[in-house]
Amino acid sequence: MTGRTISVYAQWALHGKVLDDEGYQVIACSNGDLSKANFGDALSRFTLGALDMLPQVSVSYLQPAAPSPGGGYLALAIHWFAADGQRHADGVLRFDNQGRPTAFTSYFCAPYVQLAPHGVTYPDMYRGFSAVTLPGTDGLPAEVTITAAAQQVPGIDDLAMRVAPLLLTGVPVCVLGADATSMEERLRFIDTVMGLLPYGFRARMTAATWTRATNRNHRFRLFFSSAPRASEKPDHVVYWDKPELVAPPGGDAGHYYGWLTDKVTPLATLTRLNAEISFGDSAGTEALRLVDEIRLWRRPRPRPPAPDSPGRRGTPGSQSKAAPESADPVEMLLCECDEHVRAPNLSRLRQDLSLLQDRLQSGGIDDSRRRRYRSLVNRFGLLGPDQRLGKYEGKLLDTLIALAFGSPVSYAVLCQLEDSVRGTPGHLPRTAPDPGLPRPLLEALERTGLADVRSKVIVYSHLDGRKLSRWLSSKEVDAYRLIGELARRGWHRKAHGRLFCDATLKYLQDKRGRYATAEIRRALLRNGYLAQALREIGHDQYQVHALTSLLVAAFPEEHYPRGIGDAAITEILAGTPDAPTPALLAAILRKIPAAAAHQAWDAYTYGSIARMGLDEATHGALRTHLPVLAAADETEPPEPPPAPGPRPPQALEPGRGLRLETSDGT
Amino acid sequence: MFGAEDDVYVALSDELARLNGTARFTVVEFGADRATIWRIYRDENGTPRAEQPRLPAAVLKDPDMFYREVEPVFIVRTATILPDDLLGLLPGARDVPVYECRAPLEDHLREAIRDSPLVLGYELAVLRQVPEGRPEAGRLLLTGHQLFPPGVTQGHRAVVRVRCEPTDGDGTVFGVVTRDRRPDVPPNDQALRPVHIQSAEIPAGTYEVTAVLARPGRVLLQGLPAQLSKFSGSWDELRSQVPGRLAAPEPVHLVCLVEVCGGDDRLELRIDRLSQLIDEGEKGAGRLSVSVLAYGPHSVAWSMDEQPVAVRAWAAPGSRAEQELRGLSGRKPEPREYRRAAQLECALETVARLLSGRDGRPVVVAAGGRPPHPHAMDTRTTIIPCPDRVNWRWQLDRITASGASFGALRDHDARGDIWRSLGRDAVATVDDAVDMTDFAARLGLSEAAQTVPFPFAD
Amino acid sequence: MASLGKNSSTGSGKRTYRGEPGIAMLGATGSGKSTFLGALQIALLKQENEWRIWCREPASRKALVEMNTALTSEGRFPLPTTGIDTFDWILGGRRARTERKGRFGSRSFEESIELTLKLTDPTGELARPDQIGLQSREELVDHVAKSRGILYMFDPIREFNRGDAYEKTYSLLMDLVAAVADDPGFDGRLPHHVAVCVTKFDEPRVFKTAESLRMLVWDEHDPLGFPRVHSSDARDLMHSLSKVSRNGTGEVVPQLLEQYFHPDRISYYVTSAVGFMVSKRTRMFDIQDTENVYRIESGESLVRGPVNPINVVEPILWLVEQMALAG
Repeated sequence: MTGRTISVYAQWALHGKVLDDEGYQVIACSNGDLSKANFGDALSRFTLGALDMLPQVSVSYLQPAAPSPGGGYLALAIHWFAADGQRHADGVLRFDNQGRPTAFTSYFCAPYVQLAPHGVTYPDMYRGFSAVTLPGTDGLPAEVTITAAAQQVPGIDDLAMRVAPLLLTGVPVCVLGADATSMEERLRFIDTVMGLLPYGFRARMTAATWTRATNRNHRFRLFFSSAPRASEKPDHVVYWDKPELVAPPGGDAGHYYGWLTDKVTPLATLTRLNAEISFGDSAGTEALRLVDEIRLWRRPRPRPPAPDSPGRRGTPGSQSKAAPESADPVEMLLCECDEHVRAPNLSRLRQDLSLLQDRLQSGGIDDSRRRRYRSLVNRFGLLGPDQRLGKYEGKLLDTLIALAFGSPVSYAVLCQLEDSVRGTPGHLPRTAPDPGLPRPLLEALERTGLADVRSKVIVYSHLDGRKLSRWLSSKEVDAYRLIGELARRGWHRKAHGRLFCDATLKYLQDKRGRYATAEIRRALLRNGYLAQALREIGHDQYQVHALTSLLVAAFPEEHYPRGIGDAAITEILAGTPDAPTPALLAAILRKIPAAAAHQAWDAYTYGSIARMGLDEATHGALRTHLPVLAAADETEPPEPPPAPGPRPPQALEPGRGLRLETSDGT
Repeated sequence: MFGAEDDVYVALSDELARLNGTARFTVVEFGADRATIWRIYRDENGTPRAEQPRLPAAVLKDPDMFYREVEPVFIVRTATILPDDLLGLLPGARDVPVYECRAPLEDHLREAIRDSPLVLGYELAVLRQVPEGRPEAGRLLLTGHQLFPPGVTQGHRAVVRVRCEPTDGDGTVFGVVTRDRRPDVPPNDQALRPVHIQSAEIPAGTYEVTAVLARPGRVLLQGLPAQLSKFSGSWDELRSQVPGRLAAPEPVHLVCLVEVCGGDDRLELRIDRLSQLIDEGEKGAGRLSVSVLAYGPHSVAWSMDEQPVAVRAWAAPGSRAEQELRGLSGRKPEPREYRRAAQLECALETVARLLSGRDGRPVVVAAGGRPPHPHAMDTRTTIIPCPDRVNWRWQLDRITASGASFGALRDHDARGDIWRSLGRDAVATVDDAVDMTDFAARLGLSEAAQTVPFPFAD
Repeated sequence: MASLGKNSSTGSGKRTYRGEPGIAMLGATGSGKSTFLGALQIALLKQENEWRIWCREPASRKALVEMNTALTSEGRFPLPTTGIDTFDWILGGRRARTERKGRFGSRSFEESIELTLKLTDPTGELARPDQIGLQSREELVDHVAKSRGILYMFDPIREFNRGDAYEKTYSLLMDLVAAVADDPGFDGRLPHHVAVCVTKFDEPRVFKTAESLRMLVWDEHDPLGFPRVHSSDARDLMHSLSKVSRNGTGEVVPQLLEQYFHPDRISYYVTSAVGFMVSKRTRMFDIQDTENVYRIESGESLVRGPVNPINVVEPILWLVEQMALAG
């Protein structure tokens, strides 16, 4: 459709300075329905602030005080400097009598009823009005020819798509990061946004192609600026080149966004369907198939969200605006945190965190509250990494951990956190190899404080090997404690046990000399050389490796140049509370000469059968079939006095037959 | 029978051709009511003259007395019916032709005289200087430069190149003369007798003049820049005004101060006007030396470098000074320069410092519009003062003491004591057309030192 | 009402005093409000004291940097303000305090001060009587009513040319009184502390007036040789300058202020945001050439030399101190 031309009688006013030192004022205006005072009032309401980048355009409206058949006006103001060659007004001076550049405003308003039927856009109005040279004295309304440009599809401007629904929330929208764009481009953007809303909204719309950031009290609903204004009620802040960061609003405004997406996105998606297709007999069928696959938005049936049900961030209809039913302000704050993280609105987030910190400091968070907070945190996925938050990410995590999980963080809590994060979209599924927690979260955990050895080993291992090494060198750690932890089993994840075992083995290797090997042996003996524990955390190869390392630690070569003796073999394989494992046998075999292998086999057989959970009758029947094991080796080096503890099982008497001794001596 | 005009013309021409020396002839016209007697003769310059002699009344009553006293060479009858007394005077048998024609005899006389050839050569009275190496070298002599030889008739042209020197008094006299050719008198001493003397105020300069013989006794001179008018003074007095020698011209030192700020157009205007003034000055008095000083505002801000007064030429020949003046065109204005004043005070200080009597009588002409920087804080104007505290009044006084005259080619909005003082001898607005000759004359740039009444022939 | 000051301790025992004094700038068009603010940063630096100014909020930070850079590096004055600009600038420093310890003892300590100056810089046009009733004027009155400090800019040159200081000040004061009349404790006078700044001290007519009244005081330690007018003479200077106001009403402006504010809450200063011109040749003050502003060919006004503000920090520190004492 080609452009249509309409003629309107526009009321006008020229605002600026004359050389009388009175400052800015309405210099001249049309002598129609609107008086100089009306213009003065309108102009004072919609000031951009002092800008050094002109021309700029602002759009607004005028409503007569008394309802009139003609209705209201759409207003467009062009703000400009009186540089050489300008055509906006006659006889104006570039500088005031203080020598400061004067910013003039050519203000035009035309009856809405004349513009609306033709769908006149802001750029159309700008083109028409900018061609008018205003006089320096009062005069008649100006007859202006406005050519409406050819109708266009509103354009699949991603940012405009997201900003239009934001306007419906009633909160102004501030666009940052558009410094490199031209005024015309910004005016077109404003028009594009309004083109995605019913035309009638223009009757109340106010917008500006630029405003001064410190001019906090302006009333523009959509405006560009260089920084967010620190007004009491914050604006929606969006970034020109980052539309993806604009989260859709909640409520019906969000539904409107969905509707827009439904209507506009399919057209945009067409450009992405770029596999080669030929025009042939089945072209129509193929085209339909492709577009059918484009998922359309469906307005969800409104329902109250369950407080503990896991939710995915960004799903329309399950927004944080569906607030928890309790009146706990912390829960409200967590909802707002979520909203401010999505936006992101860092200044508001800072305020949220400050309030949450206050709550934390005041104490009194019981377990049930913590559970509810955890549920919300998990639902909102607030623990996931988010670089957009910058320095606030750490603060957010510190606060959420303390609030929802408590401090210091134990292993159990660590596992809960992991579960929480693993459930966050974008993170790996449970079955994938565990890459560990995100680094920001690990750092937050360290700052919060770790309660036990397990959590420390896991966090330090992921964070930094040097941290782990330092901690292992500290007085908090000794070999017996590590072995004890390993023996306790109960790992939430295999990988945890593995990490812990690696750390233990490293300790035993690096800290040789800091521990008594006899004590190590006794500890390992008490715990079955950790053979059963290791089955839970590693595959066969790993078990053999780990058990070999433990044997090396327990039987250092300098003390046992000929390897492990028969008595020790018997003790390890047949004398511990736990049944030996094939991996333990394999590890033993690696550390003994071939001649002693049969001793190991016998001890293994013996230990395996003896430690089975059999009844007396079954056990008794098997006794005679079991091999006879060798006595202790008298040439073993002298050992330090044994530590008090349960008596190890006595060596069996030589000879055939089997006399079992239980650990209690019976 | 009437219609004998041609016969009358021929007869008169013949008589004029025969007329020489002190001879004369008489012709008579018989009209309807009376007789008119014309006596024709040649004056000392050979120019035919006609007069009506006074005769007793009886001469016209007695035919014998008439023919004896009057001796007409012919009679022209211009009326069909004559009065009785004139009828009786007709010649009858006497051998005096009578021509009948309608036109009055006077008309025929004028025509015949106009067409008669010159009997003496005409010269233009000019001055010559005795050349160097001769006795009395440099002495001025009044002599004649040939225009027309004898025998030429009306319409004859001659071209002569003349040089007019500056003169006061009544201007330059262009005198057509004849020479009293006496064989016993050397040509340079032969007296020049005025034929047709005209004068006008001719600016000094060289001109190519075309002399056209209108009629014997009247020569038109074309090619001069002013209209000639009849000289009514005494020829002898004119001759006595010829000075013995040309006086040496007074040297003049024209100092041009040109303000370079205010925009290209304005600067171009100032340059044009000063250039015209230099040209004018070169025409006038003798030796002219020209200085050109350019000045702008003081650098009042730290971010601007000071641009002191530039002496582009000092006591230089006019052509070089003009070249320097033209070189000021196309100055790129400094966007941050001060707009309320220019360092006119420092320009005057420079002039006062450099002026000496050697270069001639100073004539200071300023072209600009801005006021000077004051020498101290001025709360009335709040113009930023000169950093060197130069007081323009003192400098003006110093220059005045050296005998300078002052002219101002100022902008239309130039105000204040300074521009009144600078324009006290001559002032013009640079935006308007300027009568530069008058401007230069007011400054004494085209003053003449003496009376030189006649031109020189080159 | 703006919340003022609270002390907080960090874990290491250091004290920090935080406050949010609201200060409104009032003055006619071109009286130098924005320039005053633009010069604040450089004024603090030149004083070499411990005070510094910074911002948390990006819009205020950007404005601070732009105004300071334009004035000091480019010699350009701020654009005329339109609407009302609000800046949250944080003034940080240290001060010595003494507190009672026990029944008989006292203890001296140094505390950090962090004051968020909520500065309101309105366009001068809003003081015009024809603006009464308009929304922007109401907003200005509201801002000023919520502030507790006022920087009142008195422009002697404007007063000489136009003589409208009384008219505009009076109408604004009437609006202010109406706005605070219902506040608890209102005693008929506005509760604000007012620092009256006689601006443009470097302008020749202002300077000469001070000189002729023998009010100039030279500090031999001043590296640039700048004279000052002591604050005790500032009111008299203002009075003398007002006597030559165009319509004669200017000289009652001080009385007007003293009638509607508490006189002991008013202090006077003679200021120049850009300071005196420093001679490029001598690098010192030149009594014959004081003005540090000039007009260029295009008509724009620029700063001539380095910016050395006079009495820009002092009124603000006085206001801050007074407001802190008032609680």
